[in-house]
Amino acid sequence: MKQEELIYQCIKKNRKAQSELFKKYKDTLYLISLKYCRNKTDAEDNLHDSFITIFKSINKFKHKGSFEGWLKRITINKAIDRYRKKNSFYEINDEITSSPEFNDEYNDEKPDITLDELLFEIQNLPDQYRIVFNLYLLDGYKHREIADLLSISESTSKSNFLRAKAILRKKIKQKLCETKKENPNAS
Amino acid sequence: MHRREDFDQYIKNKLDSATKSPSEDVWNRINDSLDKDKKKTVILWWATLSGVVALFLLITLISYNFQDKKNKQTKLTNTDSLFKTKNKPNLIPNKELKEVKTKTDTQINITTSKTDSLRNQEKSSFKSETTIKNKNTTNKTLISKNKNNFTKKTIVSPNDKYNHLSKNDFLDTTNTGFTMDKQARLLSGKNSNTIKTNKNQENNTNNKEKSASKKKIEKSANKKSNDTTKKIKNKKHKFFIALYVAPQFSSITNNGSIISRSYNDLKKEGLYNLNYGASLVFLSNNYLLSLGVNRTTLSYSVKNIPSLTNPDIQEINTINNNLNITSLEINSFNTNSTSIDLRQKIEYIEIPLQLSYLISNKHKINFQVNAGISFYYLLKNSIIAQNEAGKSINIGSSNNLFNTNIGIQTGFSFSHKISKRFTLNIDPTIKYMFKPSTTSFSKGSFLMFGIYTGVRINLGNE
Repeated sequence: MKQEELIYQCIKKNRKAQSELFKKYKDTLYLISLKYCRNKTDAEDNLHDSFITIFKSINKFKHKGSFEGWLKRITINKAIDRYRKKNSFYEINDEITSSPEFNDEYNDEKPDITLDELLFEIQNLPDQYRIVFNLYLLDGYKHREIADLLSISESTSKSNFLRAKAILRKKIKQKLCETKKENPNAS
Repeated sequence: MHRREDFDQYIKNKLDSATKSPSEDVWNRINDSLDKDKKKTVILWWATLSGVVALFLLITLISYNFQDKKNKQTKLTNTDSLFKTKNKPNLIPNKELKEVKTKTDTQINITTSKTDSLRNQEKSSFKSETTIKNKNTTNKTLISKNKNNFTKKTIVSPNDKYNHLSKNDFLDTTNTGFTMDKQARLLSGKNSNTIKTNKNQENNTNNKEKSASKKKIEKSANKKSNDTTKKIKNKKHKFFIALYVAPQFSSITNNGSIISRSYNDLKKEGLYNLNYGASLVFLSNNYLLSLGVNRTTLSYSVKNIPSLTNPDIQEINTINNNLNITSLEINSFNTNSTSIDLRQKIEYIEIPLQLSYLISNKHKINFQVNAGISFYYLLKNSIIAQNEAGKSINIGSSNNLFNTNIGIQTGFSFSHKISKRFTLNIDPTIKYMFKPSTTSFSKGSFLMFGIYTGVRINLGNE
């Protein structure tokens, strides 16, 4: 079934078409959910909520931009709403950016961790850091857009990102050290 | 040494090339949720629809019973008064008429059998006469033959006379007091006194004339009474289809807001919308019962909000943000504008059930008063921001509106009969919808004023 026909059938609430749409985009949207949510359970819940919203409001898609982009936006917004409801976003102290961890030329060994380990570390970031980190680095939002989206200032968005990255680097470094201790022969 | 770009690129590459699949359970859950939604909507529709139909049937039934009783009373009084005014004998009510009809039928049978037996007697007497007077002269036999012929004629003639009258004619004559006893007497008299037939024939012709004139009067009276009953019937039960459009002003009460608590105390402004619909109208006596379907739009405006970011639209939990607009668009919208207006537009399918009373219905322009209830089904809603430069942007929709709602309405109606089938209607109506929002902070309800203008088409034959 072509994409336009698939969308049309989903507007008509054809369950087969809905199932096909789910199969086609589940992996992409699940990965987004995994990046933005705290854990696997939250990610699956977010995926569920996103698809329900997609099926309910698919008639509002105006065929102007990419359909996949529209689906991704819904999934990201769902994740943001999920944590906005639980704990509204806050301004953080900018002093933290003066930490040596934020030096651009901070020496580090080439990280080599698995996808699951990386996702685990991202998921363990504080909600606001994780969302800013994902929006800026992985989904290409600008700091001004993130600031508007999360109702925070642009500088908070920047510092949130740097802080998130620093935490992530630290965690990855720790992970590498632990691996080295466990397997001293591993390069 | 790894620069920032290397680390960022590493993370990006790692996640971009990754694939992860959710568990099978996710689709099952989605499937269940979609089924539940579908079931909920269907149940809600059926429950409300059956409620409305039950109410409609109940009111129609009560109205019919009430009207049937009244009909019987008016029929009796109408027929009585009609005959009393003409100084004619009282008209026998339907039930009694039926009894008389059966009586006359049996009497007619009796009389015909009587005449048949008489005929046989005459025949036998003629036979005996001819056998006794066998040897008599041809003149005598001729006379007897003539007699026989004459007798035959006299026997048959009364029957012929009454045979040409229909049963209804008999009924009519009976109704006027021309009783069957008299007829029977007349018949028996004629049968026994064959010699007096000439005289009787004269009497009969007189009677015939009299009864004919009586019949005429009765027929016209009956016709009139039938006509009036028909008119009453036609007047009492009528169905119409009404089509209308309504410019309607809607505003929110208590200066409330559905969107956000922080907008509760800001200035609100009611707005005009155009509604339209159709209804089925049932007329009974002076009461009109109507059940309709309308497309109703309600809207109001929250004035002078400092900007879209105060409070931030994104932070309001009761709004499903429009995913097609970006933060950049919102920012450019806010530029050069110190304050904005938020216009909320809510569209419903309305099912109004209305009872009306005709205060004046004898003139070309009539007047009636209306009251009723309405059931509302939410179709869609949108929140549109407008800046000082007049630029509008759809920022999303409220997620805190009830899918179904109830309202009450009252008003009056002027109608002008433009032809036998078409009537022009103008109904100024005030409507009130009970709390439309699920959230506790939304203290406002909707108050509407509309002028419903349209035509009413008579579905019956005039």
